[in-house]
Amino acid sequence: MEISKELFLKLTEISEIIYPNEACGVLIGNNSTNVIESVVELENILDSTYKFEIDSFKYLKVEKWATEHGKDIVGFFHSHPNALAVPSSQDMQFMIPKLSYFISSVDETGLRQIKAYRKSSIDSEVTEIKYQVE
Amino acid sequence: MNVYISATLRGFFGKKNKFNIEAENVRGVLNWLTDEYPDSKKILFDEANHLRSFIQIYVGDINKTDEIGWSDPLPSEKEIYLIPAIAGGSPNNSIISDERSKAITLDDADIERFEKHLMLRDIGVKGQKRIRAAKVVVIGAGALGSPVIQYLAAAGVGTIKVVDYDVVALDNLQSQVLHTSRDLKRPKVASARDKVRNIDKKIDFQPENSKLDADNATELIDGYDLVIDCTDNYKSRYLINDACALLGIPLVFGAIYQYEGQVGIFNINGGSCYRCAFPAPPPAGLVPTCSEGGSISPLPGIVGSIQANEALKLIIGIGEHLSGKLLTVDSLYLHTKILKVERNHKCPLCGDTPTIVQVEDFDYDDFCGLKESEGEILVEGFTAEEFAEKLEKHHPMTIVDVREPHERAILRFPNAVVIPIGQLARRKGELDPEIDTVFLCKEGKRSILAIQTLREAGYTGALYNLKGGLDSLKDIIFSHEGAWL
Repeated sequence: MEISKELFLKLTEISEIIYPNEACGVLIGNNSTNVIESVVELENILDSTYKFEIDSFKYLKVEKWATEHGKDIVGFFHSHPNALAVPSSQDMQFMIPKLSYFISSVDETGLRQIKAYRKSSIDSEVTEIKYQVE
Repeated sequence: MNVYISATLRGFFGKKNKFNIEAENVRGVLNWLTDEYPDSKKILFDEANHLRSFIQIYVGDINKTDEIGWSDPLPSEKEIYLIPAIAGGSPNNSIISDERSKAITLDDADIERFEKHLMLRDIGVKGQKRIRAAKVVVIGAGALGSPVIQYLAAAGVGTIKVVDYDVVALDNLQSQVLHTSRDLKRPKVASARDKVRNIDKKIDFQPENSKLDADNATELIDGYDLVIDCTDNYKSRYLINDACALLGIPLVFGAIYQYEGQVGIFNINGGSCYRCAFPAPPPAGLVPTCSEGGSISPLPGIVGSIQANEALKLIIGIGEHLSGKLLTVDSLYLHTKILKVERNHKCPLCGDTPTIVQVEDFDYDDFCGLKESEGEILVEGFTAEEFAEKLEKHHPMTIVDVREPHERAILRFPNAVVIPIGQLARRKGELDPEIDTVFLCKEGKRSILAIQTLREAGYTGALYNLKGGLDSLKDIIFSHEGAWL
């Protein structure tokens, strides 16, 4: 996976601004080159410090925009305030195979780290994937 | 009809974004899709043939994800959407470190004792060890403390400190189920210790028979994982909250009044504190304290049990909890509500520029209106003994009872004039300014308000307050003269 410095900073900023609540959003880009080209922050409708949910139709708008512009949905991103950047059991339950899930760990001092995960097929385990900040 | 497939799921349906399918209902649509694309069956359904959590089905803007609606006839003009559910959560963090819970061992007796916990997948051996490793302080061994202490002990909390300076009185037994008539006049922490020992001898029970104050608050809770506020007054609540926030210890707050209760969790993971929810206590004397206002017997059982349950969830690291929220329970009409408590950036304790940095430096008595203000000093009063003597000597005076009707039904004061505070100014002509007028209420606070009200209304006769109210007359006049109901 590849993400620009600018977009990595955007993920950091979103996580820190929404803290102590969980932030969330969509990653748009190109699935054949594995590059993230834009990050769209969406509202966490649960307004919570430890869980998130995105409104389906708000997401659908983003997806339709991406399709119209020839872009792919690369995956999703959310923050873990005061918790590690590892997928929780709920996170894994909602993971769609082949998509990339970026999870940031954030506390009151700011961002700790961002890690990425993927489930390569419906039967496989969730594994951490490497990404480069270019 | 048109079926839209989300971009996130298209890979499993031949990369197509739309299908036109003839089907009577959602089930028909799903059957068509899985017949056409057999590999998609595993994506849509799990081993038990339930739709996977990440799939949502909408017919127009109606959510039809639940199987119950799959046989409903479809309106043909509506589009069907197969879109992902995008959700998740943080891994639950226990307030107990893995290092400490790993040091715990459970023996055969423990396995049997905690069998019902071990059966629960989310608790299990790991959770039970966390419970055993936990060190909890319960402040107050009264109405709320009763269920909290007993449930924490029964659940197997390894270290329980109980702070209470009081002794068991007869009027405690109506709701404080920790104590029995055999415990009357004993320190509350003593009967708490007996109860806990009878439940589980392995528990390290630490009785603290002292009054919580700014001087000892920090010392009493430092080094513990969790504090549970089971007190009944504002001064203690602010003091406990402040000490917890400054030490970074989470607080499970609980309070009851008459038929209503509140539970909340403060000072955890950058969330709000008690001061964010309640920046200042109500003016002293305006709201009766719980000991003056009363409460229905099982209410502390309900509220305290919720506090104990929240405490265990924090210790085990499961479920949702009331961090940054306030649960209110109305036991009379069975309403519950959860209110959000945002962190106040201007909070003097946990805000961006805090002014309270040490509990010793904050004047809690002044903040909670417990100090005698100048206005109160100006009110002259009799002590119970002085008043009793004046009665004995038939000193000419008018006695005014300002209590509520239901309070007078408990204990009637003979020969008193009954005037509610609200009518005093209007009815001041009923008082004789040539003789002394004495005001009385239950605790001697509302009577001060009454005197101030009359003075403001321009009354010039002599006005006296019965200091300490009718409560102070117990065993002085009322053991033989009182008209008990």
